[in-house]
Amino acid sequence: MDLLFDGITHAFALILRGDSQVMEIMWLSLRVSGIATLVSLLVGVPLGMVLGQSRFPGRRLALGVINTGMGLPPVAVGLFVSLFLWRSGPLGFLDLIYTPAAIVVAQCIIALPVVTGLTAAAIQQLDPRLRLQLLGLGASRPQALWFLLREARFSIIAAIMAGFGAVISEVGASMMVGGNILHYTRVLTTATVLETSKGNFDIAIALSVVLVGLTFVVSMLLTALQQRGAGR
Amino acid sequence: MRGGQVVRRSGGQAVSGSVALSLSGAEVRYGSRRVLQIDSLELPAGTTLALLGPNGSGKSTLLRVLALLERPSAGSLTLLGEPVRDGEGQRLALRRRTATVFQDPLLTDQSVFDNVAMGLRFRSLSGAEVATRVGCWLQRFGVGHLAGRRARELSGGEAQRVSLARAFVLEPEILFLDEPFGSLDLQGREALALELEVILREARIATVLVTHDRGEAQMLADQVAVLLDGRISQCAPVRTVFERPASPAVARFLGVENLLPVSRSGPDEVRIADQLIALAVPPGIARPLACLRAEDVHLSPAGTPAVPGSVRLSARVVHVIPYGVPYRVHLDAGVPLIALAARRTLDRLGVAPGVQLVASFDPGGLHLLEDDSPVPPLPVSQPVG
Repeated sequence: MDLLFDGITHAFALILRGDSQVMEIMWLSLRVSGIATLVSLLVGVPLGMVLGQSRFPGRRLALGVINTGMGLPPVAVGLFVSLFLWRSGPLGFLDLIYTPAAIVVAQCIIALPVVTGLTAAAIQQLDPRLRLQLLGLGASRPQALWFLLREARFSIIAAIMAGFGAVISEVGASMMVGGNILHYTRVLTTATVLETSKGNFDIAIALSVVLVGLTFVVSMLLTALQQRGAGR
Repeated sequence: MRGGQVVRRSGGQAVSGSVALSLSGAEVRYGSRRVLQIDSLELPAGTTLALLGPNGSGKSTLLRVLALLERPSAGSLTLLGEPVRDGEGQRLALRRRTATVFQDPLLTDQSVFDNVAMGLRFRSLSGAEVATRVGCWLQRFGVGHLAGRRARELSGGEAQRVSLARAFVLEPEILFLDEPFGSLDLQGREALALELEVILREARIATVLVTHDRGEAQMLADQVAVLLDGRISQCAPVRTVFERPASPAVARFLGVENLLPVSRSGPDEVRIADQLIALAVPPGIARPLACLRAEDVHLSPAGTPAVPGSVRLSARVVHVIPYGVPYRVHLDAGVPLIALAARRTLDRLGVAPGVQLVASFDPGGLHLLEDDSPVPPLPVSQPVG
């Protein structure tokens, strides 16, 4: 019990003091996972809309693959991205392995299916005649698409939250492609694992608290955006 | 908007007396199934055409083709004087001169004002003009006080009014209405249909109305096209269609209760049951059937003498079905016959199954058409010895 209590008090001291190491790690985590979420949003939302509302041969297969991807183990993603990015790998010339960019790549692969799959589901939940109604009122195709997106905004923001949640909390991929290098690729999750294994429970707890707090703040921001104009 | 200037006529309105829309040789196939085949269809400017048919007859598909919301597998369509081509630019430009309303209001999750403003904003109109026009049409449909409400808080009737205002605010040159009262209860339906009738008559917008409701078609349309199994079975002025259906299938769909077998007994004489009637069979009809509306059959006590000029059949009551306000009396008069009668009449005549009555009708109310059912095979005579 003492260990836990001491850990927690020390953790809050670190946070309140704005410990530079903790802040640096937090900032990197936020940046890396933020960029990965943003990229999966830019690619996944349009892709999800196409999958959700058009009919083409192979669509079911594509949805199946995406839905499988929603449960992709981060460790497996980490392994495959590493294989590609290693010096000897096919993309080795990019010199990305053990860089924050490599973590972004791996996290995009984790978040993209989540955002795509949930967006497709959100669009499919809309009345299929709504698109016809919009076109029937003189909407151009992009205008109709924008309104559909607007109608599905609650679910799509939920999709983004799920994507962000998946990448901010994963540890396997960050560890494998980032290498957990201090001041460079050490993120909240990998640092927590390391500090715990070193017996530095206070720092580990502080990092976890920051991790949960960060997820909370980002989710609250997205929730505020989601519920804006939702009425009562 | 690429691909050619939109030709606007003077005043932005289609010239009256011209044709708002014409379709020919159109076909819609889903896979190998043909759901629609239209040889030709025209909508004169400023008139209302009802596409009347049972569920699954292809009327909504036809509406979507006409409203440029679905591409037919084949066929040519001319809208407001312009032959419709494949390019999305021209289709959008034409779509913006029309408006479509569906059965369900399909409002977006915004305020009522924003919903009605939507189409005007698609067309990039100025905020001031949007506000004026939206306000005007919300008032016109009696929902002006709801402008600030969220659309999903509305009742079904309010939502449908908003949905109609959303189309009329665009001042379209052609209006497409797909069962616009379908989501309302009977009362709301009638009230809104009456209002729409007034507005349509004033605005003189060329309108295509899809409905399965004969009353709506009668109330709102100038012309009626009856769709059965993806084909137009009859297209004519509304009175002609209801009084002179072109085929037994059309007659049955329009609710003609009696299709009586008729045999010729002379050049200008036919026989129905045991009665000879002076009536010429129009040329071209080989096997005549007589349409007779149940409300035109008059019931009187057995033994009532014939009134000159009317046809008198003695009939036995088979059963009585309460059906709305009048009751439906099924009779056996040598031929099966259905009559409509008020409850009081039934009480006065003591109508019950088995009772003998006299059923009479004016032969002027008969309409003869060709029996297109397959000819029953002749009975095979037993070989003798």
